[in-house]
Amino acid sequence: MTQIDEFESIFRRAEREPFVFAPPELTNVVLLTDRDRDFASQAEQAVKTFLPQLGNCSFELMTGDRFSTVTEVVDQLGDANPDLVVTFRHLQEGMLVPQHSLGVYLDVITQVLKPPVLMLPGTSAEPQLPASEAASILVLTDHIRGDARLISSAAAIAPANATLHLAHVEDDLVFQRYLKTIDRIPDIDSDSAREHLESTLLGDARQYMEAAIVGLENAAVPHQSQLHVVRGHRLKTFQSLMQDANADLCVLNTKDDEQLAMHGMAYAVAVETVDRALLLL
Amino acid sequence: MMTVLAIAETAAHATGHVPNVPAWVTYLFAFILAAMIACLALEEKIHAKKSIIVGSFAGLCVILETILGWALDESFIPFGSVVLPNMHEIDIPFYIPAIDWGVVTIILGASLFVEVASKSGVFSWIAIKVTKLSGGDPWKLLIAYGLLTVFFSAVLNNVTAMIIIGSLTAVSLGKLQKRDLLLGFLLVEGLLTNVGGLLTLISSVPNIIVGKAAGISFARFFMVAAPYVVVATGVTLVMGGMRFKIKGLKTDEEKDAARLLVDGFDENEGVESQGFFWFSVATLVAFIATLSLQALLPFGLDQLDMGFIALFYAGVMLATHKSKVDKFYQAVDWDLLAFFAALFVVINMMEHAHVLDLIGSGIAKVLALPTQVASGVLLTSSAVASSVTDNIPLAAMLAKILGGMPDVAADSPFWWCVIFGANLGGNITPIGSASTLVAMTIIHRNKLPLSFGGFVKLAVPFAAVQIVLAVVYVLIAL
Repeated sequence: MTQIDEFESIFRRAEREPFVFAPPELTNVVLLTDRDRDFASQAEQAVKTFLPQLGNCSFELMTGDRFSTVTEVVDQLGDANPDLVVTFRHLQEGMLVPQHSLGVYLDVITQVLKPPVLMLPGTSAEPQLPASEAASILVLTDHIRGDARLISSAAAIAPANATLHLAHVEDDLVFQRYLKTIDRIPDIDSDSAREHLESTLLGDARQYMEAAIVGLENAAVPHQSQLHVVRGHRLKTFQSLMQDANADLCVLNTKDDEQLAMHGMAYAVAVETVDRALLLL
Repeated sequence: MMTVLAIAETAAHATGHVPNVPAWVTYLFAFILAAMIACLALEEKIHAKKSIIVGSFAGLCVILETILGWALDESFIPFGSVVLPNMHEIDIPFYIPAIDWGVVTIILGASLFVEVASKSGVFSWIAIKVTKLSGGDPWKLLIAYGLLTVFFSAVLNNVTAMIIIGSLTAVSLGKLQKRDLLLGFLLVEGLLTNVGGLLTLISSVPNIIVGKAAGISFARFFMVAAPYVVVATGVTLVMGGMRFKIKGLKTDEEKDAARLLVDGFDENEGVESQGFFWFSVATLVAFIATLSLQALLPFGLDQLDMGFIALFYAGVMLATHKSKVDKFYQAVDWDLLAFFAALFVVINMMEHAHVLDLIGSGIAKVLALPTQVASGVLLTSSAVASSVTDNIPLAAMLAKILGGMPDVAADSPFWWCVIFGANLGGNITPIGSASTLVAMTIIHRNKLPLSFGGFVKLAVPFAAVQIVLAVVYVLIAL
């Protein structure tokens, strides 16, 4: 059984997850704001400057006079069926400073509706509209291997001259817990386990990112790229990566099929990151 | 050393005294032999390793023969010092010359060689490369894996071949989302390990034992066995494709999708050092070439037997990991080697008790039939016997018996009947050979339900065709 296991491991290690660039369709965009039409038009221009790839999309402006409840927003967005929703935190809540949530509208929209949400910095009451083109796009995840959708979405929306940062952060607390458990199992060589687990987990992520870069080059997606594969405490490390990359836009997975709440770390990042745009898939 | 020990004789035998063995002693030991074979067949049930089973019986036989010899005032066992051809006497236990050290050294050397060579990634590289060449098409994959199974069985051994190909099959079919074909693939591969195990003298242990006893060289073995292996492999693959509905992909979309998936494998993943990789390839080629051309080695080196060659090349490979050889020694299947040593002692005891003569007299009646009938009966009965018990003791006993028959020449087809029967019988039941046992292990590991009876039902048509082909081949070509 040991040799069978050994060879199976060798062949599984040789498996490479193929990356296929599959850009999402971006034709219809809804810009959701609780303010008036003038502001909405201004915001539309700012978004098109920030992300020129959205320049050819048709924008529907959903302003504050068109809704007063979450249900109304969900119904209208459902009818519009956009490819992307652009919006702000704390709609109709008057918060000048972001509080410990995204506001009731975003909390629901991000989970109930299918389209991704582009959340602009600041709050609805005190928005920080981007003034220039995004120069740095950061893809953040704790499990990048196989996530072609995340990378494809970021690459599709990134300006041609932007740097695409791909970041995989392996949760250090979970990793240490597994190692402590392995330390207590006599049949497993602890040093070997530590070395191989780390190199395999991080190696898999790096290989997938490299395959993604090649895939994007083959698809003639113009941009530069940088890879970050680290172990760390996810929120702190995510924030540190955002600083280091000077990210203008961060792209995260948020939906979780098994629950109503936002996926794992995404909510914490979304709540804590108030000075950068976030694309929540 | 083996030749020296083979022609050595104890001081006791040098006097020409042949012990008088009462018939009841012969029947008693025949019963013990049958019990040992039954225990080996039930190895899984009694949860004991082969070496312990046969070692226990070897110890029992030695003690019993000693006591009976003392009681009957006969020396069944040739105690005493061993007289070498140069008349020098050396004091070694009687069971040392009983062990065919040539077989033991071939297996030890070959397994060490394979163990070190596999660390270079050469076998996984070949296997993954072949997977990519198939483009992920199931029918082409079956052919690729089938041919690779035969090749690996020939140059490595059939157990290692099954482990490598079986593991890769599970991973690649999982990736291609064709797990419904996994049972068919693994079964065909398991059957082909025993067909491929016929290809060279070192491919399987029965080949080594019988081939050495018959004096068949590596080259001659290959020349005789290869045509049969080619035909049997082709027939098995075609039958396997039909039986398990393994077909090629039809549409371009399917082909493109499958190709994308298998192209995702990185054959260089297991290759840690390019230098060691190519060194292993070169050494493997040199090893096989040396075995093939052993008779042509100059400077008297042709006198060095295959066991030495195997150990030599094992040493060459081990030298590349000179600070870590202990890890490779640990990986050697010592249970198998101890099993062999004990088995040869048991056979030696059976020889002293005239059990082999008893069996031989039965076989002599078969061999006295017209040659075609005798060949057919010997091959088929070897196959059937090999299917229900370990083919190694069977091969060892028959080799000893045939070797003791003056009418059985070195080029007699009967040797090949035993070789073909001992190998192909392993395809009838899952316990017939170690490689089909490995196939079953991988099948169960992948949660595929296949019972003993289920295996027999699926495998018997294949085994029957292979055995019929072998009988026809022996009758026509040998």
